[in-house]
Amino acid sequence: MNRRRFLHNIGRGTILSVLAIFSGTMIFRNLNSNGDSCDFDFVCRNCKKVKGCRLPDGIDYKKKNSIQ
Amino acid sequence: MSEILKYLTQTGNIKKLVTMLSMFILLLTSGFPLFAQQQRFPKPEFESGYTQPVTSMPEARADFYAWFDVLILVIALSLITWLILKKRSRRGVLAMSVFSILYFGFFREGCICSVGSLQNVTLALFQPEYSIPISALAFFVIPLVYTLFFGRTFCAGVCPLGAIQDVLLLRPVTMKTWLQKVLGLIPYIYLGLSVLYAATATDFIICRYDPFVGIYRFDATFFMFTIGAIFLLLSAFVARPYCRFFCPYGVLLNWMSRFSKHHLTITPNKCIQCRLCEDSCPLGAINKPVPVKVMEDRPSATKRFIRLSLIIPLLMILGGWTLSNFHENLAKVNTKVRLANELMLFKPDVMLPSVEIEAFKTAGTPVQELYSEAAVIVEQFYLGAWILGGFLGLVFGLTLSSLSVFKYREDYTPDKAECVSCARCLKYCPVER
Repeated sequence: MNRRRFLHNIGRGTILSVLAIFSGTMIFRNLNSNGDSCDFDFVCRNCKKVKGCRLPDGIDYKKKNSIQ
Repeated sequence: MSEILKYLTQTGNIKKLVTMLSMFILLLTSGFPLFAQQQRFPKPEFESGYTQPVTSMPEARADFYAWFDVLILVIALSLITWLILKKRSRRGVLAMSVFSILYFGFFREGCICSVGSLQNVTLALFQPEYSIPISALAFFVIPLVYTLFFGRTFCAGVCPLGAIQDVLLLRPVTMKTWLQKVLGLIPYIYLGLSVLYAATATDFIICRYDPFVGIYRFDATFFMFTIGAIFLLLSAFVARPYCRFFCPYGVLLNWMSRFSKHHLTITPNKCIQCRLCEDSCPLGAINKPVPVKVMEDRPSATKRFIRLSLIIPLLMILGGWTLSNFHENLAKVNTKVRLANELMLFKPDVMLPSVEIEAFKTAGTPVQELYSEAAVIVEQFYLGAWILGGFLGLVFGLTLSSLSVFKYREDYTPDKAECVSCARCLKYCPVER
Protein backbone atom coordinates (compact mmCIF):
# COMPACT_ATOMS: atom_id res chain seq x y z
CA MET A 1 0.00 0.00 0.00
CA ASN A 2 1.49 3.34 -0.99
CA ARG A 3 1.24 6.56 0.96
CA ARG A 4 -1.54 8.04 -1.19
CA ARG A 5 -3.73 4.98 -0.82
CA PHE A 6 -3.08 4.87 2.92
CA LEU A 7 -4.18 8.51 3.29
CA HIS A 8 -7.24 7.85 1.14
CA ASN A 9 -8.21 4.94 3.36
CA ILE A 10 -7.90 7.09 6.46
CA GLY A 11 -9.96 9.85 4.81
CA ARG A 12 -12.64 7.41 3.72
CA GLY A 13 -12.81 5.84 7.15
CA THR A 14 -13.12 9.22 8.83
CA ILE A 15 -15.89 10.39 6.50
CA LEU A 16 -17.78 7.14 6.94
CA SER A 17 -17.50 7.41 10.72
CA VAL A 18 -18.77 10.99 10.66
CA LEU A 19 -21.69 10.01 8.43
CA ALA A 20 -22.52 7.03 10.65
CA ILE A 21 -22.42 9.08 13.86
CA PHE A 22 -24.46 11.87 12.30
CA SER A 23 -27.08 9.49 10.89
CA GLY A 24 -27.27 7.59 14.19
CA THR A 25 -27.79 10.82 16.13
CA MET A 26 -30.51 12.01 13.77
CA ILE A 27 -32.34 8.67 13.84
CA PHE A 28 -32.08 8.53 17.64
CA ARG A 29 -33.43 12.06 17.92
CA ASN A 30 -36.24 11.24 15.54
CA LEU A 31 -37.26 8.10 17.40
CA ASN A 32 -37.19 9.89 20.74
CA SER A 33 -39.11 12.96 19.61
CA ASN A 34 -42.55 13.30 21.16
CA GLY A 35 -44.28 13.34 17.81
CA ASP A 36 -44.76 17.08 17.62
CA SER A 37 -44.39 18.42 14.14
CA CYS A 38 -41.92 21.14 13.34
CA ASP A 39 -42.60 24.87 13.43
CA PHE A 40 -40.65 25.58 10.31
CA ASP A 41 -43.52 26.76 8.23
CA PHE A 42 -41.32 27.93 5.43
CA VAL A 43 -40.68 24.35 4.43
CA CYS A 44 -44.36 24.03 3.55
CA ARG A 45 -45.16 27.65 2.86
CA ASN A 46 -43.66 27.89 -0.59
CA CYS A 47 -44.56 24.37 -1.59
CA LYS A 48 -47.10 24.22 -4.36
CA LYS A 49 -48.02 20.66 -3.47
CA VAL A 50 -48.96 21.50 0.10
CA LYS A 51 -52.72 21.24 -0.57
CA GLY A 52 -52.37 17.58 -1.43
CA CYS A 53 -49.56 16.86 1.02
CA ARG A 54 -50.08 13.83 3.25
CA LEU A 55 -46.97 14.21 5.38
CA PRO A 56 -47.62 14.96 9.09
CA ASP A 57 -45.86 18.32 8.89
CA GLY A 58 -47.88 19.27 5.84
CA ILE A 59 -51.18 18.28 7.50
CA ASP A 60 -50.25 20.26 10.60
CA TYR A 61 -49.32 23.26 8.49
CA LYS A 62 -52.65 23.10 6.69
CA LYS A 63 -54.53 22.94 9.99
CA LYS A 64 -52.65 25.93 11.39
CA ASN A 65 -53.26 27.98 8.29
CA SER A 66 -56.79 26.76 7.59
CA ILE A 67 -55.84 25.46 4.17
CA GLN A 68 -58.40 23.07 2.81
CA MET B 1 -37.05 -0.68 -18.56
CA SER B 2 -36.07 -4.07 -19.91
CA GLU B 3 -37.78 -3.08 -23.16
CA ILE B 4 -35.74 0.06 -23.36
CA LEU B 5 -32.60 -1.97 -22.73
CA LYS B 6 -33.65 -4.47 -25.38
CA TYR B 7 -34.34 -1.65 -27.83
CA LEU B 8 -30.98 -0.12 -27.15
CA THR B 9 -29.09 -3.35 -27.53
CA GLN B 10 -30.99 -4.36 -30.65
CA THR B 11 -30.74 -1.11 -32.55
CA GLY B 12 -27.68 0.39 -30.98
CA ASN B 13 -28.95 3.75 -32.12
CA ILE B 14 -28.48 5.88 -29.03
CA LYS B 15 -28.41 9.19 -30.90
CA LYS B 16 -31.82 8.49 -32.32
CA LEU B 17 -33.22 7.76 -28.87
CA VAL B 18 -31.63 10.86 -27.40
CA THR B 19 -33.04 13.02 -30.20
CA MET B 20 -36.47 11.50 -29.72
CA LEU B 21 -36.34 12.04 -25.98
CA SER B 22 -35.18 15.61 -26.44
CA MET B 23 -38.02 16.29 -28.85
CA PHE B 24 -40.46 14.69 -26.41
CA ILE B 25 -39.29 16.82 -23.51
CA LEU B 26 -39.29 20.00 -25.60
CA LEU B 27 -42.77 19.16 -26.88
CA LEU B 28 -43.93 18.42 -23.35
CA THR B 29 -42.62 21.68 -22.03
CA SER B 30 -43.69 23.83 -24.95
CA GLY B 31 -47.08 24.48 -23.40
CA PHE B 32 -45.57 25.97 -20.27
CA PRO B 33 -45.63 29.62 -21.23
CA LEU B 34 -49.43 29.29 -21.37
CA PHE B 35 -49.56 28.02 -17.79
CA ALA B 36 -47.13 30.69 -16.73
CA GLN B 37 -49.16 33.43 -18.36
CA GLN B 38 -52.22 32.28 -16.48
CA GLN B 39 -50.38 32.29 -13.18
CA ARG B 40 -49.29 35.86 -13.57
CA PHE B 41 -52.80 37.00 -12.76
CA PRO B 42 -54.36 35.86 -9.47
CA LYS B 43 -57.48 33.77 -9.65
CA PRO B 44 -60.69 35.55 -8.53
CA GLU B 45 -61.90 34.55 -5.09
CA PHE B 46 -65.61 33.88 -4.66
CA GLU B 47 -66.94 33.48 -1.11
CA SER B 48 -69.76 30.96 -0.99
CA GLY B 49 -69.54 30.09 2.69
CA TYR B 50 -69.00 26.48 1.84
CA THR B 51 -66.02 24.81 3.44
CA GLN B 52 -64.71 21.55 2.12
CA PRO B 53 -64.28 18.78 4.66
CA VAL B 54 -60.66 17.97 5.47
CA THR B 55 -59.68 14.78 3.72
CA SER B 56 -58.13 12.33 6.12
CA MET B 57 -55.20 10.43 4.73
CA PRO B 58 -53.52 7.45 6.34
CA GLU B 59 -50.07 8.56 7.41
CA ALA B 60 -48.63 5.06 7.20
CA ARG B 61 -49.15 5.15 3.46
CA ALA B 62 -46.99 8.24 3.16
CA ASP B 63 -44.31 6.51 5.23
CA PHE B 64 -44.51 3.49 3.01
CA TYR B 65 -43.95 5.61 -0.10
CA ALA B 66 -41.03 7.36 1.56
CA TRP B 67 -39.37 4.04 2.32
CA PHE B 68 -40.23 2.71 -1.12
CA ASP B 69 -38.39 5.69 -2.64
CA VAL B 70 -35.36 4.89 -0.49
CA LEU B 71 -35.49 1.29 -1.67
CA ILE B 72 -35.70 2.40 -5.31
CA LEU B 73 -32.75 4.73 -4.72
CA VAL B 74 -30.61 1.90 -3.33
CA ILE B 75 -31.58 -0.44 -6.18
CA ALA B 76 -30.94 2.24 -8.81
CA LEU B 77 -27.57 3.12 -7.29
CA SER B 78 -26.50 -0.53 -7.08
CA LEU B 79 -27.62 -1.22 -10.64
CA ILE B 80 -25.92 1.81 -12.17
CA THR B 81 -22.73 1.12 -10.21
CA TRP B 82 -22.71 -2.42 -11.61
CA LEU B 83 -23.43 -1.10 -15.12
CA ILE B 84 -20.56 1.38 -14.91
CA LEU B 85 -17.86 -0.53 -13.07
CA LYS B 86 -18.51 -4.13 -14.11
CA LYS B 87 -20.55 -4.04 -17.28
CA ARG B 88 -18.91 -0.80 -18.52
CA SER B 89 -22.03 0.03 -20.47
CA ARG B 90 -22.91 3.53 -21.64
CA ARG B 91 -26.23 2.23 -22.90
CA GLY B 92 -27.06 0.94 -19.45
CA VAL B 93 -26.29 4.36 -17.97
CA LEU B 94 -28.54 5.97 -20.56
CA ALA B 95 -31.36 3.55 -19.75
CA MET B 96 -30.98 4.31 -16.03
CA SER B 97 -31.07 8.03 -16.80
CA VAL B 98 -34.37 7.61 -18.64
CA PHE B 99 -35.74 5.62 -15.70
CA SER B 100 -34.65 8.30 -13.20
CA ILE B 101 -36.22 11.06 -15.27
CA LEU B 102 -39.48 9.13 -15.38
CA TYR B 103 -39.54 7.89 -11.77
CA PHE B 104 -37.69 10.42 -9.60
CA GLY B 105 -38.51 13.21 -12.01
CA PHE B 106 -42.00 13.05 -13.45
CA PHE B 107 -43.57 10.41 -11.16
CA ARG B 108 -42.12 11.55 -7.83
CA GLU B 109 -42.12 15.15 -9.05
CA GLY B 110 -38.50 15.73 -8.16
CA CYS B 111 -39.12 15.42 -4.43
CA ILE B 112 -37.55 14.23 -2.35
CA CYS B 113 -34.14 14.60 -3.95
CA SER B 114 -30.65 14.33 -2.55
CA VAL B 115 -29.75 17.85 -3.64
CA GLY B 116 -32.56 19.39 -1.60
CA SER B 117 -32.08 17.03 1.35
CA LEU B 118 -28.86 18.89 2.07
CA GLN B 119 -31.01 21.68 3.51
CA ASN B 120 -33.06 19.33 5.68
CA VAL B 121 -29.82 17.98 7.11
CA THR B 122 -28.47 21.48 7.76
CA LEU B 123 -31.71 22.54 9.43
CA ALA B 124 -31.64 19.44 11.63
CA LEU B 125 -28.03 20.15 12.57
CA PHE B 126 -28.59 23.75 13.60
CA GLN B 127 -32.18 23.63 14.88
CA PRO B 128 -32.47 20.71 17.33
CA GLU B 129 -36.25 21.04 17.52
CA TYR B 130 -36.54 20.06 13.85
CA SER B 131 -36.88 16.33 13.28
CA ILE B 132 -35.53 15.40 9.90
CA PRO B 133 -37.59 12.73 8.08
CA ILE B 134 -35.60 9.50 7.90
CA SER B 135 -36.16 9.32 4.13
CA ALA B 136 -34.59 12.77 3.70
CA LEU B 137 -31.64 11.64 5.78
CA ALA B 138 -31.33 8.47 3.68
CA PHE B 139 -31.45 10.44 0.42
CA PHE B 140 -28.64 12.61 1.74
CA VAL B 141 -26.38 9.91 3.15
CA ILE B 142 -26.75 6.95 0.75
CA PRO B 143 -25.39 8.65 -2.42
CA LEU B 144 -22.47 10.00 -0.39
CA VAL B 145 -21.60 6.51 0.85
CA TYR B 146 -21.86 5.06 -2.65
CA THR B 147 -19.62 7.85 -3.95
CA LEU B 148 -17.05 7.11 -1.25
CA PHE B 149 -16.72 3.60 -2.62
CA PHE B 150 -17.56 3.82 -6.34
CA GLY B 151 -17.26 7.44 -7.49
CA ARG B 152 -20.09 9.68 -8.63
CA THR B 153 -22.34 6.96 -10.00
CA PHE B 154 -25.29 8.83 -8.46
CA CYS B 155 -24.63 11.77 -10.80
CA ALA B 156 -24.26 9.43 -13.78
CA GLY B 157 -27.92 8.53 -14.07
CA VAL B 158 -29.77 8.35 -10.74
CA CYS B 159 -30.09 12.05 -10.01
CA PRO B 160 -33.07 13.26 -12.06
CA LEU B 161 -31.60 16.74 -12.34
CA GLY B 162 -28.37 15.43 -13.85
CA ALA B 163 -30.08 12.80 -15.98
CA ILE B 164 -32.35 15.26 -17.80
CA GLN B 165 -29.34 17.36 -18.77
CA ASP B 166 -27.29 14.34 -19.75
CA VAL B 167 -29.82 12.89 -22.19
CA LEU B 168 -30.22 16.27 -23.88
CA LEU B 169 -26.52 16.67 -24.63
CA LEU B 170 -26.21 16.57 -28.42
CA ARG B 171 -23.23 18.63 -29.54
CA PRO B 172 -20.92 19.33 -26.61
CA VAL B 173 -18.59 22.28 -26.94
CA THR B 174 -15.20 22.33 -25.26
CA MET B 175 -14.88 24.99 -22.60
CA LYS B 176 -11.64 26.70 -21.70
CA THR B 177 -10.09 25.32 -18.52
CA TRP B 178 -9.88 28.74 -16.86
CA LEU B 179 -13.58 29.35 -17.54
CA GLN B 180 -14.48 25.96 -16.06
CA LYS B 181 -12.39 26.73 -12.98
CA VAL B 182 -14.02 30.13 -12.50
CA LEU B 183 -17.58 28.89 -13.06
CA GLY B 184 -16.76 25.88 -10.88
CA LEU B 185 -16.57 28.22 -7.89
CA ILE B 186 -20.29 29.07 -8.13
CA PRO B 187 -21.47 25.78 -6.51
CA TYR B 188 -19.37 26.60 -3.43
CA ILE B 189 -21.07 29.98 -3.12
CA TYR B 190 -24.48 28.37 -3.67
CA LEU B 191 -23.67 25.65 -1.12
CA GLY B 192 -22.58 28.25 1.42
CA LEU B 193 -25.68 30.36 0.92
CA SER B 194 -28.07 27.39 1.04
CA VAL B 195 -26.44 26.19 4.28
CA LEU B 196 -26.62 29.71 5.75
CA TYR B 197 -30.31 30.12 4.91
CA ALA B 198 -31.22 26.61 6.07
CA ALA B 199 -29.18 26.91 9.29
CA THR B 200 -30.93 30.15 10.21
CA ALA B 201 -34.31 28.55 9.39
CA THR B 202 -34.86 31.21 6.74
CA ASP B 203 -35.57 29.37 3.54
CA PHE B 204 -34.72 26.37 1.37
CA ILE B 205 -33.24 28.25 -1.55
CA ILE B 206 -32.15 25.13 -3.48
CA CYS B 207 -35.77 23.99 -3.74
CA ARG B 208 -37.06 27.48 -4.41
CA TYR B 209 -34.67 28.05 -7.31
CA ASP B 210 -34.50 24.50 -8.64
CA PRO B 211 -34.78 24.95 -12.42
CA PHE B 212 -36.10 21.45 -13.18
CA VAL B 213 -38.58 20.70 -10.40
CA GLY B 214 -41.16 23.07 -11.85
CA ILE B 215 -40.88 21.28 -15.18
CA TYR B 216 -41.21 17.85 -13.55
CA ARG B 217 -44.31 19.05 -11.68
CA PHE B 218 -45.84 20.93 -14.62
CA ASP B 219 -46.39 23.94 -12.36
CA ALA B 220 -43.39 26.17 -12.96
CA THR B 221 -43.86 29.90 -12.63
CA PHE B 222 -42.98 31.91 -15.72
CA PHE B 223 -39.65 32.93 -14.21
CA MET B 224 -38.64 29.41 -13.16
CA PHE B 225 -39.82 27.94 -16.43
CA THR B 226 -37.58 30.39 -18.30
CA ILE B 227 -34.61 29.45 -16.11
CA GLY B 228 -35.34 25.73 -16.58
CA ALA B 229 -35.73 26.12 -20.35
CA ILE B 230 -32.43 28.02 -20.56
CA PHE B 231 -30.68 25.23 -18.66
CA LEU B 232 -32.23 22.56 -20.89
CA LEU B 233 -31.30 24.39 -24.09
CA LEU B 234 -27.81 24.98 -22.74
CA SER B 235 -27.55 21.26 -21.91
CA ALA B 236 -27.58 20.45 -25.62
CA PHE B 237 -24.21 22.17 -26.05
CA VAL B 238 -22.66 22.48 -22.60
CA ALA B 239 -22.54 19.22 -20.67
CA ARG B 240 -24.58 19.35 -17.47
CA PRO B 241 -24.45 23.10 -16.82
CA TYR B 242 -26.45 22.88 -13.57
CA CYS B 243 -24.41 19.96 -12.18
CA ARG B 244 -21.07 21.56 -12.92
CA PHE B 245 -21.70 25.21 -12.22
CA PHE B 246 -24.52 25.29 -9.67
CA CYS B 247 -25.25 22.01 -7.88
CA PRO B 248 -24.33 22.39 -4.18
CA TYR B 249 -24.71 18.66 -3.50
CA GLY B 250 -22.23 18.08 -6.33
CA VAL B 251 -19.63 19.84 -4.19
CA LEU B 252 -20.04 17.20 -1.48
CA LEU B 253 -19.98 14.39 -4.04
CA ASN B 254 -16.86 15.93 -5.56
CA TRP B 255 -15.14 15.76 -2.14
CA MET B 256 -16.32 12.20 -1.50
CA SER B 257 -15.28 10.98 -4.93
CA ARG B 258 -11.67 12.01 -4.32
CA PHE B 259 -11.54 9.25 -1.69
CA SER B 260 -13.42 6.67 -3.75
CA LYS B 261 -12.10 3.13 -3.46
CA HIS B 262 -13.19 1.92 -6.91
CA HIS B 263 -13.69 4.36 -9.73
CA LEU B 264 -14.49 4.10 -13.39
CA THR B 265 -11.35 3.64 -15.52
CA ILE B 266 -11.19 4.67 -19.16
CA THR B 267 -9.46 1.49 -20.24
CA PRO B 268 -10.22 -1.92 -18.80
CA ASN B 269 -6.57 -2.91 -19.17
CA LYS B 270 -3.23 -1.24 -19.75
CA CYS B 271 -3.48 2.15 -21.49
CA ILE B 272 -1.84 2.05 -24.92
CA GLN B 273 -1.54 5.85 -25.17
CA CYS B 274 -3.54 5.99 -28.40
CA ARG B 275 -4.97 9.40 -27.36
CA LEU B 276 -8.38 8.52 -28.78
CA CYS B 277 -10.13 9.29 -25.50
CA GLU B 278 -8.31 12.60 -25.02
CA ASP B 279 -11.23 14.82 -26.03
CA SER B 280 -14.03 12.34 -25.44
CA CYS B 281 -15.22 13.76 -22.13
CA PRO B 282 -17.78 16.55 -22.57
CA LEU B 283 -17.04 17.65 -19.00
CA GLY B 284 -13.31 17.86 -19.60
CA ALA B 285 -12.76 15.46 -16.72
CA ILE B 286 -9.91 13.41 -18.20
CA ASN B 287 -6.44 13.92 -16.79
CA LYS B 288 -3.84 13.83 -19.51
CA PRO B 289 -0.44 12.27 -18.98
CA VAL B 290 2.24 14.67 -17.76
CA PRO B 291 5.61 13.94 -19.41
CA VAL B 292 8.67 14.02 -17.20
CA LYS B 293 10.29 16.85 -19.18
CA VAL B 294 7.31 19.13 -18.31
CA MET B 295 7.69 18.43 -14.61
CA GLU B 296 9.62 21.05 -12.73
CA ASP B 297 11.95 20.22 -9.88
CA ARG B 298 10.25 19.36 -6.62
CA PRO B 299 11.78 22.07 -4.32
CA SER B 300 10.70 24.99 -6.50
CA ALA B 301 7.19 23.53 -6.92
CA THR B 302 6.89 23.05 -3.16
CA LYS B 303 8.10 26.61 -2.49
CA ARG B 304 5.50 28.05 -4.87
CA PHE B 305 2.76 25.93 -3.31
CA ILE B 306 3.70 27.10 0.19
CA ARG B 307 3.82 30.75 -0.94
CA LEU B 308 0.37 30.44 -2.48
CA SER B 309 -0.97 28.62 0.56
CA LEU B 310 0.11 31.49 2.78
CA ILE B 311 -2.43 33.67 0.98
CA ILE B 312 -5.27 31.39 2.12
CA PRO B 313 -5.65 32.79 5.68
CA LEU B 314 -5.59 36.28 4.22
CA LEU B 315 -8.32 35.40 1.73
CA MET B 316 -10.38 33.80 4.50
CA ILE B 317 -10.23 36.92 6.67
CA LEU B 318 -10.92 39.16 3.69
CA GLY B 319 -13.88 36.99 2.64
CA GLY B 320 -15.31 36.87 6.17
CA TRP B 321 -14.95 40.63 6.67
CA THR B 322 -16.48 41.43 3.28
CA LEU B 323 -19.51 39.21 3.71
CA SER B 324 -20.06 40.24 7.33
CA ASN B 325 -20.54 43.79 6.03
CA PHE B 326 -23.47 42.50 4.00
CA HIS B 327 -25.04 40.39 6.74
CA GLU B 328 -28.04 42.69 7.09
CA ASN B 329 -28.75 42.42 3.38
CA LEU B 330 -28.44 38.65 3.56
CA ALA B 331 -30.78 38.57 6.57
CA LYS B 332 -33.50 40.46 4.69
CA VAL B 333 -34.55 37.18 3.06
CA ASN B 334 -35.81 36.05 6.46
CA THR B 335 -39.51 36.81 6.79
CA LYS B 336 -39.26 37.96 10.42
CA VAL B 337 -36.41 40.32 9.66
CA ARG B 338 -38.22 41.64 6.62
CA LEU B 339 -41.41 42.20 8.59
CA ALA B 340 -39.52 43.92 11.41
CA ASN B 341 -37.88 46.21 8.84
CA GLU B 342 -41.24 46.96 7.25
CA LEU B 343 -42.78 47.78 10.63
CA MET B 344 -39.90 50.07 11.54
CA LEU B 345 -40.30 52.02 8.32
CA PHE B 346 -44.09 51.98 8.42
CA LYS B 347 -45.79 55.35 8.93
CA PRO B 348 -49.52 54.77 9.53
CA ASP B 349 -50.53 58.36 8.76
CA VAL B 350 -49.07 58.40 5.25
CA MET B 351 -48.79 54.75 4.27
CA LEU B 352 -51.21 51.89 3.74
CA PRO B 353 -50.33 48.74 5.69
CA SER B 354 -49.15 45.77 3.66
CA VAL B 355 -50.88 42.37 3.94
CA GLU B 356 -48.00 41.14 6.15
CA ILE B 357 -48.34 44.07 8.55
CA GLU B 358 -52.10 43.61 8.75
CA ALA B 359 -51.69 39.89 9.45
CA PHE B 360 -49.11 40.61 12.14
CA LYS B 361 -51.34 43.12 13.85
CA THR B 362 -54.29 40.71 13.74
CA ALA B 363 -52.18 38.01 15.42
CA GLY B 364 -51.66 40.32 18.42
CA THR B 365 -47.97 39.56 18.91
CA PRO B 366 -46.11 42.43 20.62
CA VAL B 367 -43.89 44.38 18.23
CA GLN B 368 -40.98 44.27 20.69
CA GLU B 369 -41.09 40.48 20.61
CA LEU B 370 -40.76 40.53 16.83
CA TYR B 371 -37.92 43.04 17.00
CA SER B 372 -35.96 40.97 19.51
CA GLU B 373 -36.48 37.80 17.43
CA ALA B 374 -35.34 39.66 14.31
CA ALA B 375 -32.29 40.98 16.17
CA VAL B 376 -31.30 37.43 17.17
CA ILE B 377 -31.63 36.28 13.54
CA VAL B 378 -29.53 39.21 12.28
CA GLU B 379 -26.86 38.27 14.85
CA GLN B 380 -26.92 34.70 13.53
CA PHE B 381 -26.44 36.07 10.02
CA TYR B 382 -23.47 38.14 11.19
CA LEU B 383 -21.73 35.02 12.49
CA GLY B 384 -22.88 32.98 9.50
CA ALA B 385 -21.60 35.60 7.05
CA TRP B 386 -18.15 35.49 8.68
CA ILE B 387 -18.07 31.69 8.43
CA LEU B 388 -19.38 31.74 4.85
CA GLY B 389 -16.85 34.37 3.81
CA GLY B 390 -14.06 32.41 5.48
CA PHE B 391 -15.17 29.25 3.70
CA LEU B 392 -15.25 31.00 0.33
CA GLY B 393 -11.81 32.48 0.98
CA LEU B 394 -10.54 28.98 1.74
CA VAL B 395 -12.07 27.63 -1.47
CA PHE B 396 -10.60 30.43 -3.61
CA GLY B 397 -7.22 29.98 -1.98
CA LEU B 398 -7.15 26.22 -2.40
CA THR B 399 -8.29 26.54 -6.03
CA LEU B 400 -5.47 29.00 -6.66
CA SER B 401 -2.92 26.73 -4.99
CA SER B 402 -4.13 23.64 -6.78
CA LEU B 403 -3.69 25.34 -10.16
CA SER B 404 0.05 25.32 -9.58
CA VAL B 405 0.26 21.63 -8.66
CA PHE B 406 1.21 19.23 -11.43
CA LYS B 407 0.96 15.54 -10.71
CA TYR B 408 3.07 13.15 -12.72
CA ARG B 409 0.85 10.82 -14.73
CA GLU B 410 1.65 8.17 -17.26
CA ASP B 411 -1.86 7.33 -18.46
CA TYR B 412 -5.14 8.96 -19.32
CA THR B 413 -7.23 8.78 -16.17
CA PRO B 414 -10.61 10.20 -15.16
CA ASP B 415 -10.48 13.15 -12.80
CA LYS B 416 -12.06 11.45 -9.79
CA ALA B 417 -13.54 14.65 -8.43
CA GLU B 418 -15.06 16.03 -11.63
CA CYS B 419 -15.92 12.78 -13.44
CA VAL B 420 -19.63 11.95 -13.18
CA SER B 421 -19.07 8.39 -14.47
CA CYS B 422 -21.29 8.94 -17.51
CA ALA B 423 -19.21 6.27 -19.31
CA ARG B 424 -18.98 8.20 -22.59
CA CYS B 425 -15.21 7.79 -22.74
CA LEU B 426 -15.41 3.99 -22.66
CA LYS B 427 -16.42 3.56 -26.29
CA TYR B 428 -13.38 5.56 -27.44
CA CYS B 429 -10.94 3.06 -25.96
CA PRO B 430 -9.77 0.44 -28.50
CA VAL B 431 -8.70 -1.83 -25.65
CA GLU B 432 -12.35 -1.95 -24.62
CA ARG B 433 -13.24 -3.76 -27.86
